[in-house]
Amino acid sequence: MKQQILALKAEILKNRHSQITWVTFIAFSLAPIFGAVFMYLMKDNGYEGLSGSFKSKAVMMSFEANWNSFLALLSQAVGIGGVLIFGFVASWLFGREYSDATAKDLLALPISRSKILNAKFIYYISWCLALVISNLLLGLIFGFLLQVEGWHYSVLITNLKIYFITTLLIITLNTPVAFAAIAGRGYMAPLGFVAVLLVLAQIIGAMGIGNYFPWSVPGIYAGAGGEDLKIQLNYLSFIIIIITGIIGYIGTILWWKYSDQK
Amino acid sequence: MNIIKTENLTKIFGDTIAVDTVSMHVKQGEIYGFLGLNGAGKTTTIRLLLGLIRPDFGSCYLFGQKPKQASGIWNEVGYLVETPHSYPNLTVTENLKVIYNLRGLKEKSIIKDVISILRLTQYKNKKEKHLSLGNKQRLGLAKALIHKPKLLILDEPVNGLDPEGIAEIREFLKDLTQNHGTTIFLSSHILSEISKLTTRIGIIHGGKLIKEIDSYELEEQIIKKLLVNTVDNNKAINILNENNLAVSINGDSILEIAEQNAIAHPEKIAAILVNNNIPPKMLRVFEEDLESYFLRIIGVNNIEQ
Repeated sequence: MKQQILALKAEILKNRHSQITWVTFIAFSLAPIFGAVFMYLMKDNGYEGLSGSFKSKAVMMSFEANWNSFLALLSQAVGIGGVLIFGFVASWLFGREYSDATAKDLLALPISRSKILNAKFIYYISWCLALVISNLLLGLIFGFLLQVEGWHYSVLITNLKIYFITTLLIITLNTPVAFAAIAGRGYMAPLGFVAVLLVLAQIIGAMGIGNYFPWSVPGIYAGAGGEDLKIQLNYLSFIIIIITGIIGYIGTILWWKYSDQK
Repeated sequence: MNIIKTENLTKIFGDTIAVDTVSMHVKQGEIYGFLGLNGAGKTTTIRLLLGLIRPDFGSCYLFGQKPKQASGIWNEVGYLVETPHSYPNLTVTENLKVIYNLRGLKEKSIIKDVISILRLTQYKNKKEKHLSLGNKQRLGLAKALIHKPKLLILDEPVNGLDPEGIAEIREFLKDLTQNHGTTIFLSSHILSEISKLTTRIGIIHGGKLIKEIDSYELEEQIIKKLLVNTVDNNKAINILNENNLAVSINGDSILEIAEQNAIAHPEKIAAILVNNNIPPKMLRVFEEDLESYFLRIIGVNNIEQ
């Protein structure tokens, strides 16, 4: 346990001056900012406050100027944007050791390689949680400043449940991205992997079979595909995610422990 | 006691035998120089020793143990593989703190100490990305030395250092061996450095260890000869032969005398020639340098004669 804490301390230190951290926070905060703009535009005139594709989208998703819609939008942003941003975080944390050519310094030490990777996973989870909590806080601040209607404790609890379950699903789904970074020896391979996943998630989701494609499930669960798609989710949809996450985690550890580090 | 021992160590990448049945041993307190051209198998051997890659055949031992992950032997081993890299956005001190934590070290003062030893004090708060190549090398060495290892495995340790820095590191490594009993295994392409520093040399070529030699033996095996050029070399050969000196003539029409006495006393040769009215235009003791020796051993035919 002591070694694990020391590995985590080292990981925190490595990221001390990382500008990537701020980039992810700024990119992720676009969701509550745009959500707040929607709220502001719709506040007095409903759908008439919007124009063009925004209006069509809002109508399609039954988006309204109230807390329920606003918080649901934040969950959907995690379900879709999280694949990209959390994937970016995982790519950076696991791929940087190869891009910075520091991986070899971590491989012949009295500490096990899995503890070093576990420290990265802990840091990754903490980073993702910090991102979603910051977005939630931003959303709440914007919502109260705009005096959005429909505030109720039960609305908050219901949406928080969806928000954090969506977060956990995405966090779980990015262990294969960590594997792609370790096996691909850098952050380019996992970023490519994330881009492919994002496209596939959209296509497969639109085809109506996203309930069995792991990277489509969080978005559908968050309501991004509407209620029709959401009711198609079943236990298997979530079991597939858990299995994907476990395979990604174990694959990452085994690869780093047993593959040649040329 | 053998600190490093390999037995038929072999690594194959696809169709290439990168390391081919290498058997060697390095004793405590030795500075073992590992020589080879680029692609000869030096770095692959070092990676095998560090457990970064697995051998296809054979085995290697550090302190009598196979190099297993998370083993206690890594507390005794410091290493530097290829070009040293550190986290570019971290300062010198922060980079060392990362290693300090991962190694589970306890005395914080050792960070300051190793910074001072490697003369990085004025750069301690500078980010790695702003360091010169030489100082990056020093930081790499600092990371390898921070835990005061009993065995140092260094791949091209003086790369990028200026002559003053090279001399400094050489003396530092000698001090480690002589006063702290540290064993050093190092590869370098700066062959003159190897000859100044090492106690034993291994030459690897095409993945095979083709020669192991003690540094004092090397001195004996290096070709030495006296090169002479005169206004009339044919007459000079006759005169020198009359004085019981075997003389040959090389491709550049320069006379070569290999006898130890002549090499030790070239002034006597000069006197003989002058007394016979054929004063030398050139008289030079040629001593094969390590590079020429190395190329001769591996069979590359471009040795200065």
